[in-house]
Amino acid sequence: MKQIRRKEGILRSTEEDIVRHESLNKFVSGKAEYIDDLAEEHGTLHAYVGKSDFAKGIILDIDLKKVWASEGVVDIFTAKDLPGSNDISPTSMRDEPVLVDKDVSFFGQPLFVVVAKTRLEARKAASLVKINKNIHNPLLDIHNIKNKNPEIVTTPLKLERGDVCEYLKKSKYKISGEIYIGGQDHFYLESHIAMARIEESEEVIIHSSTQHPTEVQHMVAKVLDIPFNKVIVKVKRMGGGFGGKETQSNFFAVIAAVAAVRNGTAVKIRPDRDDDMIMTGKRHPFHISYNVGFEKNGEIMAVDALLSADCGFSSDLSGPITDRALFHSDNCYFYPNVRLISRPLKTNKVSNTAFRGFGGPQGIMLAERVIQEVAFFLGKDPLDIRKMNLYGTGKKSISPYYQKISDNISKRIIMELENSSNYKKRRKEVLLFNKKNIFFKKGIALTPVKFGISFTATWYNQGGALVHVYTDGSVIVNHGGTEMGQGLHTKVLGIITKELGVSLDKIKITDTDTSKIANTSATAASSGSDLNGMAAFKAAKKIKKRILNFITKRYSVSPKNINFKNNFILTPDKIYPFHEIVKEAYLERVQLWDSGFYKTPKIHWDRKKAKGKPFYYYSYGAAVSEVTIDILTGEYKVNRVDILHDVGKSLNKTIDIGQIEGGFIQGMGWLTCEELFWDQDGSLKTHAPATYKIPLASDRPEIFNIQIASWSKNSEKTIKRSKAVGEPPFMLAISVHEALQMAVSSIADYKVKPKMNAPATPEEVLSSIYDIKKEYQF
Amino acid sequence: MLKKNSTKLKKEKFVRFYLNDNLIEKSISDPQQTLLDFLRIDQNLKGTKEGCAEGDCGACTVLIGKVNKYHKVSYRTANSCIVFLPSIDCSHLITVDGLSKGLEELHPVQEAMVRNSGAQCGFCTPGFVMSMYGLFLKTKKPNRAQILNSIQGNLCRCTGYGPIISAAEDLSKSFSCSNDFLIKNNKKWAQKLTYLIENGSKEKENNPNYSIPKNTRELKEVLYHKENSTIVAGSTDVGLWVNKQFKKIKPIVFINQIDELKYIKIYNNKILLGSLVTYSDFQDFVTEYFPNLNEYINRIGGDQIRNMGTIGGNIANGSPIGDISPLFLALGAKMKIIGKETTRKINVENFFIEYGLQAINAKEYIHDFEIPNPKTKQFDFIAYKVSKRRYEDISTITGAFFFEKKLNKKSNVRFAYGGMAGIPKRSKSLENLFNQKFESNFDEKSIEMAIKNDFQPLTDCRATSLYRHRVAENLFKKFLCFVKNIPNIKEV
Repeated sequence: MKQIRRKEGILRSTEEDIVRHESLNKFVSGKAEYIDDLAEEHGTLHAYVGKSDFAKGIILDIDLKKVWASEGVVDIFTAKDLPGSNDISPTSMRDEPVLVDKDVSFFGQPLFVVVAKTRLEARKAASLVKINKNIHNPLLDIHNIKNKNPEIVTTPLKLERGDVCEYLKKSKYKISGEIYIGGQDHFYLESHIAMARIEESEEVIIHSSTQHPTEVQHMVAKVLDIPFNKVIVKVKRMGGGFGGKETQSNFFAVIAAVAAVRNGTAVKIRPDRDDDMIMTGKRHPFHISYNVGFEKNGEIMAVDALLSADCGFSSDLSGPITDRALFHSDNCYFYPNVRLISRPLKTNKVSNTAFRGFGGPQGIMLAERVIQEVAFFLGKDPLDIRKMNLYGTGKKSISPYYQKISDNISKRIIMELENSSNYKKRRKEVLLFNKKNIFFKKGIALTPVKFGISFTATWYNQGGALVHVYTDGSVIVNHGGTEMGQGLHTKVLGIITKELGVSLDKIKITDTDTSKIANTSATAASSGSDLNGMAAFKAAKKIKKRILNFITKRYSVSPKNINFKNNFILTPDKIYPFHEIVKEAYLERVQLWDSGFYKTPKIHWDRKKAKGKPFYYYSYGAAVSEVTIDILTGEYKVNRVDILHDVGKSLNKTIDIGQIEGGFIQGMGWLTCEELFWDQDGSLKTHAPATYKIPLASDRPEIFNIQIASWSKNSEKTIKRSKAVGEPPFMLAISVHEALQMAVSSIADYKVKPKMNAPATPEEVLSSIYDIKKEYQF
Repeated sequence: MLKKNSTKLKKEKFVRFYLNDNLIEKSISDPQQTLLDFLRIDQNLKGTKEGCAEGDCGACTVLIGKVNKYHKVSYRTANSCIVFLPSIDCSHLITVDGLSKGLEELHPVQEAMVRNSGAQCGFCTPGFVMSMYGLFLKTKKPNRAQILNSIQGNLCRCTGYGPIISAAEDLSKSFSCSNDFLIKNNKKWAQKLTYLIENGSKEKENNPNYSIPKNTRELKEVLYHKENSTIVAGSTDVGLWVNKQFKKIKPIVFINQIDELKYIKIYNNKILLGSLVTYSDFQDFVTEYFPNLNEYINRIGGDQIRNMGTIGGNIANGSPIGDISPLFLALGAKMKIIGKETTRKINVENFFIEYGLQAINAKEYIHDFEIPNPKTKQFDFIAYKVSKRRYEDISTITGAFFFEKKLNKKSNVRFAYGGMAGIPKRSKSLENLFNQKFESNFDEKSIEMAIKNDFQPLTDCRATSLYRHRVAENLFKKFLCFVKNIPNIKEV
């Protein structure tokens, strides 16, 4: 494969072998259809949700008179009107009502639904409700939870190995600290949306913007009290997901379905951006307290940490998310003695949920914070401390959950990036710059990532696909994964085009549909192409085998000598057009369609014993970030970022680089400008892009070099030996946070470690500056 | 493709504009309907997307072409989610649906986006395509800075922007203006729009819900006769009242066709800025007259908002965090306020009475602003904006500093802050301190006390009160470095 290197240093593939996102032409011309673009059935109604205007308390009475009287309103329903279960907890904890009738748990919780002729009428009507209530004091802040036995939403996890207490005492040095890490809104550009219609009075067809069609199917069936086979969920594409549409779509789909059944007509629901942000869960804010014991040379002896997560009012996916935070609290480092405890805390906020990284980012923040503490204390370059503590071989390769880290390439990744980015020289220049400048200070940091791939809920690690070859040689592929921009369909197309030798224009991927592939897993945990790609490959392989058999029989050619390429089937003697052979095969009654099924091997996890092999393999990467801060305002720029990332043998370089680049910037947003703010009543005040700021084009690093570790190959037998890429690059942005801390600490000659939390907004940076140097000398 | 000018315009339909190739004539029943809803619901044109309905994400970006004073159509990007239909009367509206025929015959901008893989989920993409097209319509070979500027009003959550920037840079090399369908046909479109303007409804509009005065004489009449009307210029703020708060703002007076309020007049000792000067126009002016303010103006809104929003609107709203007001306060700007029988000239400073209350009544409008001419008068002037995100963000705090040194006399000093009080406000204590101590040194404590004396800022979602205090002090320090010419204040 030829590659070109852009001026900017980002490796993009050359024209001829590029397989670009399959929908690009539709995207740029505005022809790509999202749910709000679909043709509406005649008489389609629009639903909207009425929300609580307080965070905790009891509803005495909901006055809906004005809502009923509002123009265009045709139906209103509340909790008692739901035909089946009033619960959409995705983990069967029965703690997440669809609609609340009495006990309100967060500001903006859904209370009732109004259905009207137009969306605007429904929205206006919903805002006219009067709620009589007894307001109680909401619990909003996990900093302030002093209670030794606080209320939790699910069972905590403890990972423990060795004797932490003993080694914290024995180590030469011990440091204690804490860090608060804020949450993050997904800010997919397409807000949540669902459209439900009724077929033949009994079947519910739902178009949902969801990463998990099967769960939507189950939730709708439960709330309607009908069997799963009466509900069909379809997903063409999402306008972004990032985890925010894993469980959070359930609610909107359920509302659309109930409204459609009640009114016997199609119903659409699309919350306004502000309501989407108020009503749906976000990345979990974490408060982490830690103790680290280490030796004079920087070798870590013991890590003891308590990871408290702000889960919001219900469990949602907080269990697996806080578990994953613990699984990643080591990052690339070996802790000889370790104790990690999660505390999934209940608060009166919207229930926090999956978001790219799924707890991993917060865990890795802890690991890197521990390294920084040691480095600052010893007055060393944090990179030296990192290298010293990397996982090794033998005893030094065992993780806190007893999985052996056997595919470790972190050392090579770090060394190569250190060289290619000129880290050592630039660090010297940064130190010099800071000596010479008063008002502007620079920082530079290299941080690595190791991310475990597989759902920790082992049963989720399965995927299915259907491949249909038609008699004109065109192909339809359908699989259980959903497309949200990550390029899963494009990767699957790439796999099928290679396997069947059929050109891309002859292959189509159809909507994800619960009536085609049953019991699908969420498109999450970066697993999309690992699971569905392999399933589609297996299906295609079966068909190919039958075609081979057919040719072997009919034309007496050995299968070894037959090649499928460019819509032709090549034999030593003759070249046959693919479509002619399949036509012949059809007439010979050869089955030209098939299914494929894949389940990840080798993994197991015993949560009670906190032991096992939850991950099939790990993805690695590292980044160097250089920043400049303005010490008078706390504002900053990210000047340069260099990334070296491992995707195994890439399935599609363009798509993979897109994931690395986009993931990094999203991670940078999480740690810098994206700040969630609730007022004292528990009302989210950053509920729209005017107040919630995701990175812009101009926030992108001025110099941005991205390289894929081209030598890497998955040591496990994944599809084409590739590795998952969706989540791991997100955490590369931790280097920006550390670089900002270095810049701040320069004010005190790197003697004091800034207590910088996340996000490092200009205010957070400035307050760190004031903290470490109380008085600024003008 | 283009219809002839002899098109018979229907008398009873008041709002007329071209949508891509088609003439739209529409009687407006609800003047609060947004352009985006009109496109998506009434016209079934689904290419333009709704991301936020408040003009901050750019997914709904369209191009609005209006005839300028050179009789050409100038196309500018706008957020259709906060544009009301009567605002585009006599305009040529281009949406993404009008750029390509089907999926194969793509516009060069679209081709460049495909070539560079400038989309992942695709939802923001039509908006980016339109912003980029807008850039190429006004700038031949844009550089990196201009490209970044042009997409400041567009959010993408997937790509990290790299391939989008690459697409624009790629296009910068290959885009040929002479072949572009809008540039090629500019003259024809100018004629068509001029025909609409000249044959518009000249008689007094009887619709009780809205009117579109074409000059200040009509404006005065309308305001006089219509009770409690709302003036709408760029609708960058009013659009949110409607979309988010369901406010009823009828009757609405759409003033964006009043060309006589769009001037920038340079006199020897002063400059007059018409109230309908947009931020974009203001930006061009600033580049020449106040190059120090370039970065400040860059930080106002995204390109769409800069094209829509007007300096008059920014002042009229009385927002404590409007970005223009501190500049005008510090410059000692005056403003002309006109009613049917009255013309008043007041200091902009006196316009802001308290939060939500301005010195203007419902029958008056803001005509223009008067500021000193920096080319004929010697003074130091600098302003800073601080926000959570550097670009396209509402300010956390702004500070503007004006210093006119007078020999043997008390110097003329005006320091104004936004985001520090319920209104944009001068810091008289800081001004006094400066006058007392300018020749000597400032101690930290006295700066802190001066700010504390004048301001008790709020804690809100943008920042704490403490941060605002600290930055207010520090912006003053920045200004001191600026006037005292202390080196090392620039980023290296």
